[in-house]
Amino acid sequence: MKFIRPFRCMTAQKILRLSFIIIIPFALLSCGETDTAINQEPEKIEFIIPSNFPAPVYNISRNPITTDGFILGRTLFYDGILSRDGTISCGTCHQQSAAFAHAAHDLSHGIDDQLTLRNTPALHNLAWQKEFFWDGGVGDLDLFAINPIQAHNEMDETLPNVLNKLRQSAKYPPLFKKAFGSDSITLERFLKALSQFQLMCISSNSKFDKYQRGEASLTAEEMQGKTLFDNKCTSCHKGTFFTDLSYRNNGLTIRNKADSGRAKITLNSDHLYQFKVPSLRNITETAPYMHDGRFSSLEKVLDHYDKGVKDSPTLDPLLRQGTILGIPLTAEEKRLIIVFLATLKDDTFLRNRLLSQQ
Amino acid sequence: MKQLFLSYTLRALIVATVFSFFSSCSDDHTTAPDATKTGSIILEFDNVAGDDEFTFNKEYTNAAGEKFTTTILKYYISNISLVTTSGTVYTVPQDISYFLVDESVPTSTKVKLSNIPEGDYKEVRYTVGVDSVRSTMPIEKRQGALDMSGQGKDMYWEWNSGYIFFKMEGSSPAINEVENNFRFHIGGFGGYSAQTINNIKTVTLSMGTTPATVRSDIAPEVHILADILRVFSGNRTIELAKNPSYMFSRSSVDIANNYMNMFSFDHVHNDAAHSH
Ligand code: HEC
Ligand code: HEC
Repeated sequence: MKFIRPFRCMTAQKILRLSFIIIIPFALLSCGETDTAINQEPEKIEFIIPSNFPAPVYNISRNPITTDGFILGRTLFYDGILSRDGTISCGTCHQQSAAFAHAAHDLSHGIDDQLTLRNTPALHNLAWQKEFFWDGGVGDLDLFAINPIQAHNEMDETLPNVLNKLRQSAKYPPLFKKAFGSDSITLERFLKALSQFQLMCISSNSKFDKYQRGEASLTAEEMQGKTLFDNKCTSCHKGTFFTDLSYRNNGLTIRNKADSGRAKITLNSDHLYQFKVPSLRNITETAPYMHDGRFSSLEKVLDHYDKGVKDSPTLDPLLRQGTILGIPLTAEEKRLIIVFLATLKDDTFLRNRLLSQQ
Repeated sequence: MKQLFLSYTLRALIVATVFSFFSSCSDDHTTAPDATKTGSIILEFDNVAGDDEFTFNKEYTNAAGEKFTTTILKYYISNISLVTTSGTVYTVPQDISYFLVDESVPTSTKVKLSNIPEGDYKEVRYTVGVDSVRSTMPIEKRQGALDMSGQGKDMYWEWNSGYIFFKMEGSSPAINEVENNFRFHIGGFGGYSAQTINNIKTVTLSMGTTPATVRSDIAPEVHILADILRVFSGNRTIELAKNPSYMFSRSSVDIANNYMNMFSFDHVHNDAAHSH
């Protein structure tokens, strides 16, 4: 039985817990041993819910993830053909090594070097997210990609053009045929393939995940940091994903008045300058921080919560305790919280070659 | 078909004469409806400007006395129902009840509905815009007029997912800006998870005394006038000089409350099927 051997490297149980079931040609998994047996079976992609995750929000039964659908989605994600002049792909701004955020960019450059309005967020565990954008303007992952493609400062292309370019290419009709049974290229198939790739960007193997599943333990310092975090941060950065997915104003000074945040979507002045509470998974890799990328380090973020919180009519009440604004923190507390946040880094995800440009 | 070379009055006169001939003809000979049979009906949305035929780039004057010309005019008509003289309501199946009336696409102004049970219909009801349920449906439920890569390509806000229900653009010398353009992009279905503006409007038009007699061999054409001057007046007079741009904003509600009243029933043409 050819599948027994690779499992030598990890327990079968661990393999099942991986968010991907990967059946890679035999030689690759034999841990460096010379083995001439060649298993012709291609890598197989399956959407598996990690045991420490809740049920996903995305209805997978509407868009069952297949190996070919995923491969098509990945090809599209990394292809500049989605932009007007062929120069910008989704992967230009969403880089795997930065958990699909944009490393070292407060704002990102789209086509013709134009700046985006906001900081590029990490893309991970999107199947568990109900709304997208810093302001939650899009309520369905499938509909999301329309925005970067058509935004004049990102890819500046139109949907009819993108689909026509794909239809006329030599490469894509066969890929659509493999994924969906015929080479007809429709908006629905295009968007669903892109979603299949993005849905598989599951980060569930950080040290913290392993701790949650009882597979690893945290050091004394990491535990101290966790206790501080639980006391001071989890009212907003809650649960397995470190966000309650709500929109809040965490007291940043207003730098761009035109970006009113959640109020842009609801037209409600109670929502002025509220932004989505971001997940903190892989947070050590996604600098700079906040919706406009204003903080270059986690130290600066914690200094903000400690001393920088600015009062305003929509400041979140949790950050105003009597006359005290923000979350007072000692230098040691800040250090320990950052030690804990580092346990959210998931190397398996950041280096998973299945998610990389091929 | 628009007969642009005839003055509107002359045209109306001819249409009325022809129409009275046909309607009296069908009144006399139409058989009783057979509920087991179906036919079709056409709703023609004829954009007009007051008493004039509406055309792009022609100058009209709005209620505020401002002259303007138009370059884009399109709107969604959806969720159509027909009511018989005895009060029975026939609702077009939702999946095929979305239409984009686009002044630049002549065929789009005639909304053809098929598989309608035979009947004498006296009332038509429809939504201007896209209902909130459809507005949150997954991509596979957005076909035809709702396909953002097809007919619906310029009628969708990708940053705030939702359809633009009504789009009108043009220019006016009254607008005192470098570009004297006006833009009305009106939408808003109420919001995904938090409440926001709702510009979904429903319209009910009575066809008066002559019903539309749908038969397997009669495909009535219901002629509906859409008076675009009413976009600027009614609920609130719009002054382009004050605000030339209405998009996703609270004030967009004023435009929607105006245009919901721009529709009026003109006449029905109970003509033999296949003549259109
Ligand atoms: C020019 C840089 C750029 C490109 C290209 C780009 N994005 Fe983004 N992406 C961003 C920025 C900036 C945001 C945040 C925008 C906001 O909230 O206003 C974002 C947000 C997202 C989000 C929402 C994440 C969340 O948690 O809310 C998803 C999903 C996404 N992008 C997917 C894509 C896909 C798919 C493509 C290719 C079709 C793409 N992006 C192309 C910069 C880019
Ligand atoms: C009142 C709710 C609230 C509390 C409490 C809170 N945060 Fe936040 N946090 C937010 C919001 C909202 C944002 C995004 C703000 C923006 O960009 O406008 C954010 C952003 C962040 C970011 C930047 C993430 C990124 O991807 O850019 C980090 C890091 C962070 N918070 C850490 C913490 C830590 C650590 C604590 C506890 C000391 C904490 N937060 C407490 C609401 C909160």
